[in-house]
Amino acid sequence: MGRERSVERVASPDIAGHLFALTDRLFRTTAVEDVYGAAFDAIGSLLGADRASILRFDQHKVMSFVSWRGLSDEYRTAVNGHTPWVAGQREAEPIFVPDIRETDEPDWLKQRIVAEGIVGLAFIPLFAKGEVIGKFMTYFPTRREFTNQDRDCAVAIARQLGFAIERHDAEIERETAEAKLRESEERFRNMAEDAPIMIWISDETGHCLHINPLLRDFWGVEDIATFDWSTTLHPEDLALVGAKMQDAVQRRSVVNVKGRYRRADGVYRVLETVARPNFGRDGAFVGMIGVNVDITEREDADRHKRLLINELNHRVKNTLAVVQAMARQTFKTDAPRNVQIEAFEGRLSALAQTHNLLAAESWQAASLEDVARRSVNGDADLRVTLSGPSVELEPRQAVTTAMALHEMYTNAVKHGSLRDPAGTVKLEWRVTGERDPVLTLRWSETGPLPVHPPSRRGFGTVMIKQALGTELDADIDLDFAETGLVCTVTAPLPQLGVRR
Amino acid sequence: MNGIRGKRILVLEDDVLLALDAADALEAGGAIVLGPVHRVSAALALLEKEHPDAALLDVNIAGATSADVAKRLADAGVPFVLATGYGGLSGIEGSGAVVDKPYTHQQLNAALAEVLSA
Repeated sequence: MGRERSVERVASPDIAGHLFALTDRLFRTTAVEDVYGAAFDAIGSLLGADRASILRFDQHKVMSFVSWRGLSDEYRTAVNGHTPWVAGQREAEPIFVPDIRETDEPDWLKQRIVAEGIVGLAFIPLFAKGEVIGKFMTYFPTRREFTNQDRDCAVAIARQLGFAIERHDAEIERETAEAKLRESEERFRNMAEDAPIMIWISDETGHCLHINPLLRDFWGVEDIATFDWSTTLHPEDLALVGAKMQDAVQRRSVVNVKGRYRRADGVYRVLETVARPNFGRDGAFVGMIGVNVDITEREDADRHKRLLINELNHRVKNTLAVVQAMARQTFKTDAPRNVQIEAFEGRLSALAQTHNLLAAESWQAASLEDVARRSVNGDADLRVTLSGPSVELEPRQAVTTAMALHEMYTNAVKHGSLRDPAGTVKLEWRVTGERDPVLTLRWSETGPLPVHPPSRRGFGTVMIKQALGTELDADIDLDFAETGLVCTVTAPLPQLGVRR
Repeated sequence: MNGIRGKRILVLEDDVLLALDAADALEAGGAIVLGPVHRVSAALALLEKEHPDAALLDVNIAGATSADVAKRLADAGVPFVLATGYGGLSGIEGSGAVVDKPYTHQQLNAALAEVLSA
């Protein structure tokens, strides 16, 4: 490597040719490395320097080597970050140093530079968008007297290099933005394709341009171009939904509307639509973008809930009416107050216990045995024996049966066989017949003491003869035998019937 | 004023206890109770033989409604009062007065007196 060569001056007439060559190469480059290469070649031919470097502010705004020719790793490491300018600076003049040894730089730096075989050097700022983004440097092995022509050439190279870097950066930025946009579009498309909700995009007239697979399957759309979503609307909902959508399109506003739409299988489903106006990049209205959610189940559940609440209200009021009637019937007798109160409490308790039984079965049914067991208080399996197959009673039948059995039991305790500790009651029931099964229930008292028939129009008799008779559609036979009451109830087996 | 005295009033109420209580109220007011009946079929059968001046109909009767009885009464020009636990909504068309369960004897008799005087 001849030191002589580096001080050779390029003949002036070639400057234009070399600058043209630089410009032409920069024009054709696609990779930033080629940009740097073209710059180094121009530096070599125009400034006669075969050693040079390009540095740029990195993301931490540290002036860092990005490309170089003829520099050792040690040197670059030592001087990396050294800069006369800061990132973002708008004004910067090239600095030409004929001999580093004659400067005021610190000794260690001067020594390091000289050790690298550098004596003369130049710092030329690079600009992009009007700000310093880095510099290029040229290095000379001997003292270098820089001419005006050197200065002009260096600045011309720096300008071209700056433009090329700026253009290249913009290209990278655009590519990155495009990639991001593509990625985002793809992500959205994937989301829309797999989304568990129906998504659609319409034009400014409301005609569907795009629908996701879920919505396509819902409507059974084969050709979106000829598809008219409004034909799937329930005729009763057409006017309202149509008007709301049209209004949203005209006012460019968000719309939220429910409607029944015919699914491909012909079943109407309730869809809730939320749509918003869609604007193009230029701000012009291009249509609506919306989602449809199938809320049929939710609507059904809401309706079911309202129904249940209504039913509960009805049941409560009916029960209150029963309690009211029970109170009136209990308190209208001539019996002493304490006897009336005791009777009322017993009846209320019998009613409440049956409600407990029914609540446990969601008010669907209660078994005859459970009802009977609770109607005889703690006497079940002691003085009162129960036997019979499993029979399910409907709620009202259960309530009336409980009330009637309660009356039989309290009557037996007061006037019948259970007046005596040795008295007993057999409560038996059976089911006979195949085609039209009949339930026969028999309450028979056996006791040592004589019994007194109760009053004909007493509450107990009403509950047993009329209420139980009506509710079970039963024939009731009351026989006040010497040993106690024998009551036989013959009824068609309640429709819920015998449990498996 | 007692608009029900001497009037023949049909009582259709499937709950025997409530029917008995309503009958007590009407009889205390001087009315003559037809029934009480507890099923729609029984009410229709009774109307074949009797022509009441008015009727008290429970709306829900053993899983059905008293709409058929209401229609028969309306056709015959017999006024009636509907009793319901559904917050005063009977669901039966052309119905006149509605009493909401539970009702007092006074409310019941007043409602019947009103339809009788209309």
